[in-house]
Amino acid sequence: MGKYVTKRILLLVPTLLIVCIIVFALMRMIPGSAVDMIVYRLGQAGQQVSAADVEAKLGMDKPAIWQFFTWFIGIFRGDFGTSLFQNESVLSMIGRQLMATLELVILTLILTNVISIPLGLYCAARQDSISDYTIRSISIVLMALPVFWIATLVLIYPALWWQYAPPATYVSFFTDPIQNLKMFFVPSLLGALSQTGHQLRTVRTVTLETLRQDYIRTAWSKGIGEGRIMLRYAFRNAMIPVITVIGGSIPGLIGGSVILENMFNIPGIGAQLVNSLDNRDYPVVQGCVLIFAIIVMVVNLIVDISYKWIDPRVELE
Amino acid sequence: MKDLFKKKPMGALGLILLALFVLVAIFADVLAPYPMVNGNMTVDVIHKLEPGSAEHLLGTDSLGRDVLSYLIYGARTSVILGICCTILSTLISIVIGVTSASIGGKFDLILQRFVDGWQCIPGMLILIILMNIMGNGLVQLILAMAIPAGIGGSRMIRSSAISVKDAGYVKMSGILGGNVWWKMLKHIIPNIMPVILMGLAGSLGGVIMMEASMNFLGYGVDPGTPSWGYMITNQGRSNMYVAPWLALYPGILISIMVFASAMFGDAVRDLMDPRLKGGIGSYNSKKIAKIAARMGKKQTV
Amino acid sequence: MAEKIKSTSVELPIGGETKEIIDERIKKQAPVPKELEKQILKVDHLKMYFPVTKGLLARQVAAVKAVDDVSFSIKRGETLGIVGESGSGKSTVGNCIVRNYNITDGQIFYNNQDLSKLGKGEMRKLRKEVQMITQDPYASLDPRMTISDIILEGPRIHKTVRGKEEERELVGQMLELVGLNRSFKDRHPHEFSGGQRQRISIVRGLALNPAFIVCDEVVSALDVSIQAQIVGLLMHIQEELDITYIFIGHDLSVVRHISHNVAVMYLGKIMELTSSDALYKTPLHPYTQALISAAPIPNPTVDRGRERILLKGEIPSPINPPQGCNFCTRCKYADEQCMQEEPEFLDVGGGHFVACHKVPGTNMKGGH
Repeated sequence: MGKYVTKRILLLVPTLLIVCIIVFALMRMIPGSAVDMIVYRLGQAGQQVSAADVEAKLGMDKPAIWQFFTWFIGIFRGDFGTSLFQNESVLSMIGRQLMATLELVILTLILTNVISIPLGLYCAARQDSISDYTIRSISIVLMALPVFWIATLVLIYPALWWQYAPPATYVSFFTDPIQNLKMFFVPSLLGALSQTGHQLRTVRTVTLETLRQDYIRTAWSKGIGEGRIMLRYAFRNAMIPVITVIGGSIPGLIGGSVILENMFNIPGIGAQLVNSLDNRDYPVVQGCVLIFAIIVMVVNLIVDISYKWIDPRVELE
Repeated sequence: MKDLFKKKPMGALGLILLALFVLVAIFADVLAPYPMVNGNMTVDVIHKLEPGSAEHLLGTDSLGRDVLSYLIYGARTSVILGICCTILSTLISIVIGVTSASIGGKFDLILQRFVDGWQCIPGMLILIILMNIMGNGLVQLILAMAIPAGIGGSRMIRSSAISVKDAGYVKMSGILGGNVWWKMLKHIIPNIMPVILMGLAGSLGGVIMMEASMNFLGYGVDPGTPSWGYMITNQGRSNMYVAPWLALYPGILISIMVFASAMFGDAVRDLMDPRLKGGIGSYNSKKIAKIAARMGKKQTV
Repeated sequence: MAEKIKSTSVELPIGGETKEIIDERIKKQAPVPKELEKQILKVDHLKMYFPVTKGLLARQVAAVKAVDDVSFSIKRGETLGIVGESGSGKSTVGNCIVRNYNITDGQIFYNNQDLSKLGKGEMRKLRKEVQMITQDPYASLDPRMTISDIILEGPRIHKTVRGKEEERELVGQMLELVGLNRSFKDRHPHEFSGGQRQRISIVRGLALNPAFIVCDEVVSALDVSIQAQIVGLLMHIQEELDITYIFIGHDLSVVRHISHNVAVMYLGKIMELTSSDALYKTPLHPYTQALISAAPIPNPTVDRGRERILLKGEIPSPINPPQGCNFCTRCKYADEQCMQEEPEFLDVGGGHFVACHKVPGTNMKGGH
């Protein structure tokens, strides 16, 4: 087991390299008048710099490969570069915002699973019954509703009717939980809605497949009650693919967070990303995307390891 | 086809709705009460931001455009986007997945690492960056959405191609003299068609959703092209106190289209995947009791 | 030499049409230079070792010696049968000849051309002459293709037919040749039984007009009665079209029926090679004797009355074969020399090859 874990962690490095290459390449492709744009924007922000200064700071006077490797090696030292606009290191900027995004994502995950797993199991147990159809239809409807649209409606109508406005300032969870949750609850719920629709169907499908297996049939014929079968036998085995799905939903959740943070004034990484992209603050954008990618990789790693832990039949690749 | 209507009525409904949208898109010029002239929507400067009336059934927006017409043309945009994107991304998936599986070896290894790395970066972020690179516009949007979707979908195509490529008939094809390309075209791809179709059927809704999200963020089609997502952001949110309905209509339409696509995709998947057949196989105690009772009744002494 | 055994009970059109088809095809076959007319295939010290890898970087730690120094030759128009149990390497030999694997060592001469040295492109051209039929009639036919397409795949690749008319003619002829109705051409494989599918497989190989066919356990998966039909069909085709076969199987009675010469393989090496008659009348190798004793005799009284040879011991692993004779762990005649020294594959008279220390003529020490 330990060997497997170390092997997987080591395998992360080449993947990380490739991710960095992709991110770097993408950034470099953004059209050329970037430097001028930066100079312009900086000028607007009150900092007078020349194009040459910017280029030097970005390291653009040196060949691209050199730039890439400096950045890449820097990552391992914890140096993600410095922002062009704020005189802050990218890492500390990200650090500030990371908490908020993480909280949003975690809350959304919790809400999603609390709803989708029990309901999914129920639907599988009562396949093709009226409740099954109803729940399934509702979940498809939930999937179909665009997140930002519901968010827009949630912002518009309560404002119209009850003068409701979401809290504008961010308060950390550890400082004031109630206030914090007031800010995070609605967006998390919205994010969870569409994800729940999707996940509920997956849980149902996977549980159905598990229920088809022979060992379930044996348990059934032995007279074991339905509830017991579901909980003891079906649940465990069905959960394996569900874990994969949960892990795979993370990138989508992050994407969703970009929108939700934007709408609900949450100072998270998503919002930071959009802002910096507008400003052409390359180092920050690079850092943000990289952080997201790292989160995804870590989550995949955890999913893989827990797979191996739960299901001894899984082969190490 | 007949199976669809008999066994999966919801899926059939989805298909009908989708077909309806396509028809509206094709005949937009005929259906819209205020058709486009020279590629621009007609603007009624006097009536702006008015709710539904006799002349403008669903009202007007802030520029004086007829909402109903805008929505109809928006359907056209969505349909074009959806179809082009789906086809393009499926082609990319097939090319990457099948060649990776067929050629194998180092080529496969490197390509898969690349796909892995790509998958780690959240899709939304890639889209935003790509749109930044290419600028706004319909073609750019199609490309920006199709490429990541294609790369992502290649995984599944590759795994089904792998399960097929060692089959006896593929080996025989080699013995008969077929080279890699022949085997790919004549044997591997036809045998993974069900998987390809399953992917195609349900993806339209996802594309529409993505497009709307992108427009919402400010990246997407240029302002002149009618788009539902654009309407939600631009019109709906900006004018939310004065004309909140502007946000409502496009959202409903998007939801319906995604819903239809999901139902259709589900139905196709269920029909083609023999493992998921429900009914008698499910261990539903109430159902079994009912069946048993019915059987008991049928028996005559 | 062995007398050819006539084919039995096959429903085949022996009418005028078939004769025309056959004449036409004989004319179309590739011409062979006079001096080579006799020997069409010669295999020289063929070795096929499969690497066993371990670890992340796939280091080779051992090798499975599937085929370990095998040599034989076949005359045109004849059949060489290869018998052996599972794991003896017989199928691997067939696959090597068709270049499904890249052989580890040795040479394969087809019409004096070394197949092992050919590049992919040149080998592809040779596929018109050297074909293979495999064991599984279910996996070897593409379920999505029609019978017509399946038969035409080879010709289409090598462009030996042009135009829809010629294609249809070829398919019709082929189907008739094996006793299937012409109208089957538009059906799909799953609509046919195992025996019919095997016949389609056979005819798919024949569509290219090959001179040499490797039949790898082609009847092993079929019912016994169908086996007889297929074997009879193959022999009939051989007679009419002058095709050379390698017939691989594990059932000695079946292999012996169709073959002129038989090679008995064990753990990658040939133990005995001779005409099929001589094999039955005077088996020299202990392994061959055991195999023959295991095959049932149609006369139940005789069958029950005879003494069976039972093999003791376990079959060794092909990764680590015994130092001496491969068969020494199970042979009842085995002695010190058998365990230490590998017997040579020698001709003990009249083209009868054996690899055994105990056979008179191979060495001086005792016989049996």
